[in-house]
Amino acid sequence: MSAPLLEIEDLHASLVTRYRRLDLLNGVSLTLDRGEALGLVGESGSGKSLTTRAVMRMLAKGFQTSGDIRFEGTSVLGMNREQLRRYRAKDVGIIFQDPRAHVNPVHTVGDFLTEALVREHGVKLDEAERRAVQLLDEVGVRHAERRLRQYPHELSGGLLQRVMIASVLLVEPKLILADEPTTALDVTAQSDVMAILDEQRKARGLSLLFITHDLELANACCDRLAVMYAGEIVEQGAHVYDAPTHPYTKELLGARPSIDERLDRLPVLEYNLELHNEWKARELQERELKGRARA
Amino acid sequence: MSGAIASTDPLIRVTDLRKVFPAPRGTKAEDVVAVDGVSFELLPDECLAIVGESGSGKTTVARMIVGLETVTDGTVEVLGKDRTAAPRSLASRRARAREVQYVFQDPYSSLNGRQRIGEVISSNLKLHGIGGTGAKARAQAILDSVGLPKKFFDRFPKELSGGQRQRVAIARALAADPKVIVLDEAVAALDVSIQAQILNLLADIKAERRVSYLFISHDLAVVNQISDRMIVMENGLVVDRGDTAALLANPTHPYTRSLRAAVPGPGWKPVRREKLAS
Amino acid sequence: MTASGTAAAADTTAIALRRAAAQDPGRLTLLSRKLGVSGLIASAVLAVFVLSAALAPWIAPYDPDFPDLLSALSGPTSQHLLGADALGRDLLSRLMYGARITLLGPTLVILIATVVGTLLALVAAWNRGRVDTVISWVLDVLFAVPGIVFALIAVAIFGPNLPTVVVGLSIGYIPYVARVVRGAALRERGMPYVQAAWLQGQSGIGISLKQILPNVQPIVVAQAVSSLGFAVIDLAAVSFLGLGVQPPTADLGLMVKSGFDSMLRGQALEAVAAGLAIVLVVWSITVIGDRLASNARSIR
Repeated sequence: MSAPLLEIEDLHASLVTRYRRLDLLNGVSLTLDRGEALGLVGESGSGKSLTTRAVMRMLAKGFQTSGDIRFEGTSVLGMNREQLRRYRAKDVGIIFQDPRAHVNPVHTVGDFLTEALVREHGVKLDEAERRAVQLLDEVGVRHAERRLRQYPHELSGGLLQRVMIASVLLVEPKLILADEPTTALDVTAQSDVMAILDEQRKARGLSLLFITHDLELANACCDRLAVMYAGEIVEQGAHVYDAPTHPYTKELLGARPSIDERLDRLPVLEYNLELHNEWKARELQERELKGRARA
Repeated sequence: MSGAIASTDPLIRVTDLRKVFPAPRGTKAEDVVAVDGVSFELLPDECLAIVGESGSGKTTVARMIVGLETVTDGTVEVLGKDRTAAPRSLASRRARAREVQYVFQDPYSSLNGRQRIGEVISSNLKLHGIGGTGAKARAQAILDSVGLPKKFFDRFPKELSGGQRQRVAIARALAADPKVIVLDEAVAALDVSIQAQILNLLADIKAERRVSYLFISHDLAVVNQISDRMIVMENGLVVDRGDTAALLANPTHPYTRSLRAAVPGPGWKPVRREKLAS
Repeated sequence: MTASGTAAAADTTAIALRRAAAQDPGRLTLLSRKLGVSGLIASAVLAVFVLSAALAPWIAPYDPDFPDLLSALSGPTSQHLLGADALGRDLLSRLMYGARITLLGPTLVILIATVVGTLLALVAAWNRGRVDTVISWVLDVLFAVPGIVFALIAVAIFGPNLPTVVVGLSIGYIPYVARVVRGAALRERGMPYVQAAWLQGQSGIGISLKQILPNVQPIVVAQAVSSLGFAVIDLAAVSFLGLGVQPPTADLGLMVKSGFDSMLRGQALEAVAAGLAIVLVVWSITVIGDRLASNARSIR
């Protein structure tokens, strides 16, 4: 068994001020193999976006972290500036929720797409443009050559998100982080974009960490799911959608309205921090028992 | 002007509604036809959903009904009265507010950050003629009815979560005791668990107060849960309409089918459409 | 009435963070964080001037007009801590009394300009269209003329005295306030909460005052305080030209002027002390104004 591509081990992240300590990530652990897609699912405040930022080592100042994040065996948290730069430029690509906020409006689409190739990978400009056009074509953007000369504001949201995906795929990173990439899109555009991402990623053997609040979408596009609550993962695996075991997962699945049937009342979430802490205490006990049994 | 309203008369009737946004002067851009001839009725005691993607015109229709946008062509009738033209006076605006209320999508910008929650409700009550000492008690009762405990009365919006703020927005709408509430993607910005709570709340309110809802949404699952009938809009036109459950179970119109097919669910896989031109 | 589940909120990170910050102890610490080190020092300096000005009648060692001719033009002595001017009047006392005018005048200027400017801005932002065009045009005209010129014109018509100068100067400051408030008010006007109030039938005046104004207030205050610094300079300049308060009233600008003559006769302290006082007042006001402005920006 080859080593996992990405390993997060007991990651804790706290915001510490002089008067207060806020624990935002409480021991996140997950692994991602080469070519695998993992869906990180949670509601707001669960810590899923924070985890993503931690993987890129993009946590704001003031965060205290413990635990480790390892990419191909190397600790991300321990990288020096040069290693970090290369890691961010070549190994990991990130697709954000709002493409407009992450594209320079005064640069053309072509500049945006070719910049990383030319600067980091030493590709000549015309070769970079050729590859950009080919990829735009593959992600379903018509008149790709013309698009290269256009500015971001001339493209719709759905189109711009495809450009973002193309820009990430162009550098062929080993790991793609997608942070709610389709939340701002219409449902038909969402289906499109995810289909493209899925197809392209599988063709190139890339790994995907897909962050979303939409359990159904994650299940459709990922091999495994990990559900987050209050800064930690409560359940993960391939079974999560079809046969959830954790009460929060079950409730989350139940709370979503269905397009096939209409309920009298939607079930309301009972799970809260108190129950969560009880669950954590039980897990700890079980682990101790198992540990002792083995000893 | 009609006389007494029969109990089966539509609360809102929209006929050939059109909205054109003129292109800015001196540019080559064309006028934008956001709504191109839409007609429908909202009956008493029902929830009618307007479904569509962005650019379909559904929000513009909702805004025209309450007067947030002017009507280019067509008519809007509310409770039998012609409400096509923008309100002329404060009195007419207030009268309209007692007929139709509006809940916005974003709970973070639809409340005045500098106004306490209780004040939001009681000032509304005062605008509609319920003032004095009774106002505070009534405001507290309304907040209670949307599930906000007493201690929230003196809090500011920034101390509330998105779901709680949306409850305040709903409470604000209830203060005027309207016959119709227009909900413009009112649950779209909420987490799944909170969304469920708010949908239940809306169902309860509808049952207890006999209000009708005009529910604007892009989310078919939510629409299925809360609405009785729905109309589907695409590019400013109504392309499909009917009973919600029936339409979603067996969509015949190609656009409705494509929408239905794009909704994630058990056994669903994302599918590519044709290449995009824009 | 039912409540479909109490609104037991799952705290999102944002609220949690804000609650954490709010529970930090001590309002004083919050204030010190709002002002920062420079702001605190500036506040202290300004407080010294404000207090001496306010308490002058009780704590000034001498009557500012009392001529002690024997000590005329003397440097610092045991009798006159900062020395005396050409007419033997105690400089320290004159500084304290002078600070009153130097602080009072500009404060009135800013007060008038802020009230008038804010009202104009709110009216323009709410009504837009022709009303806005007319008001903006008037503001543009006012912008074109430096504040001091208005003061000079007023003095030319009504003669040199404090009220005239104050009114003249206020007119010059109106457009600065109005521009900033108009921009902020226009932004707020497009927000859903204003639309919601409009739908409820709240009047334009009601919305402008109760919904929009409280939300632009931090910017108004920040702008007012920064303009205060400029107003102090402008007023001192007008006094320096002899067109403001007239002698024998103590005024820092006037003291700089008469101090020039004293300098020629060997006593530099009057001009320097008065000038330094003006500089310190303006500096402290500007620093506080900057801090308020950056706080106002970060709230958004």
